[in-house]
Amino acid sequence: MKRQRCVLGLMAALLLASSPALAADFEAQLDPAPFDATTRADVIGSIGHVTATLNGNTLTVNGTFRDMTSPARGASLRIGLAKGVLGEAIGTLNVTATPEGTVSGAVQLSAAQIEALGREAIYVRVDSEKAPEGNLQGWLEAKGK
Amino acid sequence: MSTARFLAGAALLIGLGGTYAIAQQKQGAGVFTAQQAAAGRAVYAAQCAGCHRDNLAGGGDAPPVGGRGFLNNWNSRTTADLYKFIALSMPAGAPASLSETHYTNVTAYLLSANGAKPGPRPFNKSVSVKIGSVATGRAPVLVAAAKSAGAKPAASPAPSTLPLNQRTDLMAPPFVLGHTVKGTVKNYVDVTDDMLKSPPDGDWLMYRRNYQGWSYSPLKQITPANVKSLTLKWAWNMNEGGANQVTPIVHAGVIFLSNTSNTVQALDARTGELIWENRIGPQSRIAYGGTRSLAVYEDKVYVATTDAKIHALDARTGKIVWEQPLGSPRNSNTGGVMVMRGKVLTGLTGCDSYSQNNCYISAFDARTGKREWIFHTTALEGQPGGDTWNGLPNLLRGGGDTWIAGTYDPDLNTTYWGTAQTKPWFRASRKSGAGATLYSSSTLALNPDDGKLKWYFQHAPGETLDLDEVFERVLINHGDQKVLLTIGKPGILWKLDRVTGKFIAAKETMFQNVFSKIDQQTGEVTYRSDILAQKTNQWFSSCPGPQGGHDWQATSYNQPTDLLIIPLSQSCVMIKGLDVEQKLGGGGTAASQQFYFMPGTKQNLGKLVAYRTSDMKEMWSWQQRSPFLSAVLSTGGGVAFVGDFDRNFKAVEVATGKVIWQTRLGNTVQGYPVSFSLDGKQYIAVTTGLGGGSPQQKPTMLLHEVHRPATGHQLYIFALPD
Repeated sequence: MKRQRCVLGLMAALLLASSPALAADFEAQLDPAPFDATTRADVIGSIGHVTATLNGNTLTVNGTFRDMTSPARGASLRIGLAKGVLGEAIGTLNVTATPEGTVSGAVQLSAAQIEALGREAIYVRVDSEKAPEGNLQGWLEAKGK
Repeated sequence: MSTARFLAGAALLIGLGGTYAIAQQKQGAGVFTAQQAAAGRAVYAAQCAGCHRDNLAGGGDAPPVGGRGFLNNWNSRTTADLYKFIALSMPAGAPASLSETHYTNVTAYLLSANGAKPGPRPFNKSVSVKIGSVATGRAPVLVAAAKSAGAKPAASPAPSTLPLNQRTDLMAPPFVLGHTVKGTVKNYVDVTDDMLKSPPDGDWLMYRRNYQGWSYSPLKQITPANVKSLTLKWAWNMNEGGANQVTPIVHAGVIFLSNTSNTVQALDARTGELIWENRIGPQSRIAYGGTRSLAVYEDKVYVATTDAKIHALDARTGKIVWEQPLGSPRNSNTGGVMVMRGKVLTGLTGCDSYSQNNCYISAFDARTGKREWIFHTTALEGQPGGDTWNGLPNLLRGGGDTWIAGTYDPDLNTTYWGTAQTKPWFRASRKSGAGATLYSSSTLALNPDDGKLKWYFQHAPGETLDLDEVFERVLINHGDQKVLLTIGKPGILWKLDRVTGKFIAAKETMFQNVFSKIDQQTGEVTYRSDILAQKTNQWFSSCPGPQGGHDWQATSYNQPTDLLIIPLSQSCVMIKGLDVEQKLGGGGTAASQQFYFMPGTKQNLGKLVAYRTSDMKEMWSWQQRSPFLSAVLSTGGGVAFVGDFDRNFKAVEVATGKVIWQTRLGNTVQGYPVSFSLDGKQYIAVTTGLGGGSPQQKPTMLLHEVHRPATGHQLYIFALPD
């Protein structure tokens, strides 16, 4: 968790500055959400990528996904206790209702959520018809890390 | 009830197959026939029981398939889901390799063994009934009872309609046990204590080559400049079945090779000619049961077998000289043996199932086989450390397995062993509260003369996510400082003072989210808050998961560069602990898992990293898609060798980490590569293999593009051209 502490410091500085003019860029590869043998075929092989920009307290997400075995049916920004830990939705994102498409949206974050973003505990999840509880997921990291 | 009616009822039960019918207490129409369940029992015994156990309690990476644990996991899912799960993922190591009839029957058997009632209509993969509506989770006791009474399956599986070349039940040749090849090793030289302390450059006499556990050969003929010329000299097919994770032992021009099915062979290292073979048995069951290393001492070869016995063979002929039991029938041994001060030391595994003997390390007189001492790796009631189990009785103190052989410092006369985690895996399952559950997940320093504990250091008190700290203890001197390095599944590289056990340093070699804090003064770890507040049947994220981090694929300490080269795996799981039966034969590992890629790795499961041990500084690292399934071997020539899941065997320049040669072998490169020399020529020996737990299971699930043959246990010998 050492890298997250470095990013946390950066984010704390950003938060203290609290100026809309300051922006921070993030990105995540979207990988298959947790599966077992019965659900593997529904999600394995799918992939995506998102970028995100924090401007003030607004996080704007844009990305693409492909190779899902069923059409997307929703997406969300979510928060866990730490990077890699699943958690609850904190905002809704838009998706194209296709197996290959785009994900986008803007979510207002609280101070605690911005702090969590700095700890890399915020992630994007794309749901599909075959995997309504998560087809793709990816934790946002500072760009160029 | 009259006697006549009772007898009539009993006769009916016997007629139905006894084992299955007596526990049919749940109401509702049967979704399978008694004949299917009986046939499925035979399939289960042949294909499943090796991992899930005869009593269905599970073990290792295999979850319970009977009792409360099974029902908690499957209660709300359907019979079609169960069929699909089994048909897509089982048997471990060879998923989807059985016929639809086999999968149908074994599904019927599992439903039956969990209290579901048979009926007139046969089960098929489309029958979808909520399991909780037909099964009670009660019946494994009767299955165990039938086994102990010597009951045989009621019927053979239905005749297969598959073509002969797809009949997996026909593939294995008859396996004859015994001293099957009776040749003699000529010019054998006894292995002395001095040779074990200072191994001849050309030999590989023990598990990690030297007592210090380095996996380092001083041979220098193969260098970064000429490694591209390596050519295959000879190869040898090994036993199939089980888990092939072997270390070839080389002495006096002979390779002593442990195969699966507890077979030991002596091969002429020059030609690959078989000299002798002893098929000690028992025959390995699917996927599990590797024997990681033999030992040689004086005129004997020592092997600990998967049925928890230890055997001494005549090194010249392969004839058994003595043999001794190690534990109970529920135990096993996969970690290999070490010889020090005239004693043969070995550990014990299979300690997840609650039994009266708990888990321990044993020492035997090398010449006579007399047991000299045991050291319990689970502290017992009334003994030092025994108060760290939240009041659990000795029967419920599972785990503390020692499935990797220890190392030894002759100067300090101290042997160092790692211990596995407590079992069942989850605190909530085993009801150990916040207890540290000593001596699990620890480094133990023992006196090899009497087995007395000199010190211990517990890396993960009360471990709870199947994150072992059992692996190799590497002994290194930095001037006057004598240190011990080890790394476990969480990927934390630990450095201890091996004289005192005092913590020196800990480095996170990869991403982990299990511990929120590691105290750099004391080494104390703090679990993530949700893990501490756990209950059974709750999912938890774990990065790394049970694959590790670091697993049994050992590190190599390259002494000239002071680099410890570490193979790592990067994957995560969602894992939940299940409820267990807290009684004799209960327990198990008791968890269910889902799989996902580790964040930030771009789906690279394999990572190779080198740390300079004097200051614990990372010197180089790189990642690749496939995880490494072999240990690392490094040499005095500045070359390191490592193999991966996708059959690649690679040479790496030690100084830079650059890949300088690679070749593709017949199957997953799995085992412990070694180097030896004969007549002035340096050789590299490496094995391929299937079978094993999480290191095989996770990439099988995650790497959808990797296709491997269903067989391929082999030994390959490489050298430079003549």
